[in-house]
Amino acid sequence: MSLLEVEGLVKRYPVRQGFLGRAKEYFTAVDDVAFTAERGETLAIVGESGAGKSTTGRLILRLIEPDAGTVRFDGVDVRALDQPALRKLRLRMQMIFQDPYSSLDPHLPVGDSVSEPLHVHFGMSRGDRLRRTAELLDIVGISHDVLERYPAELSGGQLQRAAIARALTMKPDLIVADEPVAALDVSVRAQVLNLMLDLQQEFGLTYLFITHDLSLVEVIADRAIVMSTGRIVEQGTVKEIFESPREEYTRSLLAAIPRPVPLSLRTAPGPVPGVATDPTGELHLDSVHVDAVKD
Amino acid sequence: MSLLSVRDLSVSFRGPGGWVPVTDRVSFDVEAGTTVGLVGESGSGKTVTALSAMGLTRAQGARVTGQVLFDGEDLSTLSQRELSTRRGATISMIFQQAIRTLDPAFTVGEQIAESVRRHEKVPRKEAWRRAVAMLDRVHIPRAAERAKEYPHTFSGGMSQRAMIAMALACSPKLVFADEPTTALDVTVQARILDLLREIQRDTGIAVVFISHDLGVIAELAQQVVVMYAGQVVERASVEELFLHPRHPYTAGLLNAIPAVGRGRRLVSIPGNVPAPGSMPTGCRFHPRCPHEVPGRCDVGPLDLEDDVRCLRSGELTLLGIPTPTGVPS
Repeated sequence: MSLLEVEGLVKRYPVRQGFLGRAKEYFTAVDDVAFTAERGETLAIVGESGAGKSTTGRLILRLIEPDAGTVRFDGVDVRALDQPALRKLRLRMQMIFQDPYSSLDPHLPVGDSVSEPLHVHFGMSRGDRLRRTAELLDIVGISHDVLERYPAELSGGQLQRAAIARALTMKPDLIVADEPVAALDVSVRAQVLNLMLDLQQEFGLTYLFITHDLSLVEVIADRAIVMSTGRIVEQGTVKEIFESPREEYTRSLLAAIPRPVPLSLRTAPGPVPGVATDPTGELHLDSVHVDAVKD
Repeated sequence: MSLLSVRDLSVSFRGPGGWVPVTDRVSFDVEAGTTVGLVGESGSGKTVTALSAMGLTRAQGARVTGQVLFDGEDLSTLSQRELSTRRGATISMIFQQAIRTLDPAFTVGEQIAESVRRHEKVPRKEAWRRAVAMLDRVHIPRAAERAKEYPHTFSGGMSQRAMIAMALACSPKLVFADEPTTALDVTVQARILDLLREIQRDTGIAVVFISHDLGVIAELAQQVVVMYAGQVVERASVEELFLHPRHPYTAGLLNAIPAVGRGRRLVSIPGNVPAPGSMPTGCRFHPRCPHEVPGRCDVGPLDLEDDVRCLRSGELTLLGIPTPTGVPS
């Protein structure tokens, strides 16, 4: 049995109010999304801003409520749970966010932020908590003096390691990592990705790795889902996606990866054939499909 | 003569315990019409160097020494008043977060028109016409209508285009582009880089492109200046730098780039950039360097020699990208 099974997942947001405040038109952020994630693998969700990747991640944890579809985590129907049961299940599904400067409380020493879940969920004493936190900081590779320091005093890489340590406090099975290295320097990005690979080996973690950057996917993921305007346009193993992408959209994402080869040294410069060359080619809300729902 | 020649630019900021040096005798040249990549991790002094070259840190009370020769004129001797007539008109800047740089209270067109009128005595109507033309120039669709809109209606990529339009409205000869694509999606980044290349081809503007990502630098630059902990550690042509890096830090940055075909496990640079005021002695990179020799790398002042700041560069063979024949297409 897969650790995570998602079927027919839908999230709509009302964009226009009709008579008596009833929504007349909906923007479909996530449209009939289905996939599975196996225990111990990394599944990447790839797409541009607005593709519905982050929404999908949040729907799985029910941080936002889906409008339709099922999410089964380790056999449990997540949508059927009441709040206390959901809170308990969420211990096993943790999330890491893009911006560590805003995901850790600026007014709390980092040690307290990392250990807070141990207090909230297990009622551990402060001493026990700090001991356990120190162990976790060892695991993620930051020094103990960080415990007493505030987020503003740490670098982005240190903070993201602390955020990972916090996610690990609950010994989760699944970590949904939403652009966890997008805000980091290239050199630090490599450190954090390597750390995530190590932790996966050590603890058998399953990752849902959300990113707009396909170059990271090859490093971290086993399989990938490519999303565009709320829908899955392609999914497959990383090898398939990179070597024989079926969709033009996937090819355009691949073509956008900056190649670390100076232009003058490139043997085959220029765009990949078959990729749209609209001068701006950006996604606009008004060009995204809006489903009209009849009253 | 170079268009821009930065000579021994050192910048210090006032800290609780006195002046804290942030950059140390930074020197580099930019030829007209070319792109120089200024690369390094956060905290290496790239942005401070750019801001100081434009006289913007002096205005904030920083102590700046050295020279900034632009078109034969030493900008570092000019008053703030004189400088403000140069900024925007002959030398300009694009920032990382365009959406925060644009004023939310004015339409995009008004902001561009204002920057035109600041430098050129033209009627309002003419300035507006120029603003629309610039938005069109950076490929914003329906430019005349979009000019009347406020920044919040612009996506990340669109506001960066608007920023570029504003920076280029008075046809400057040089623009500092400070991580202009870092906050953007990879696909949007690729289009902004295309736009910068196109504008450079058409106008011959010189660009100093600041980035932590050598992958992006490879897309644009002809010359590269690598900075670490406030100092220049290597200067080279982009080809030389990528094929034969001479400083271990440069090699580290190259190896950290996730690139198609490299597969799993990146080579990271361990540790962090040291904070200003607590720089290691000797080579500032030695605590993080895989080639460090105790007693040699951690002592004495270390100068830039033959464009590289490493005692061991002559004896090391550092790995760059594969030579052109081996470059995957």
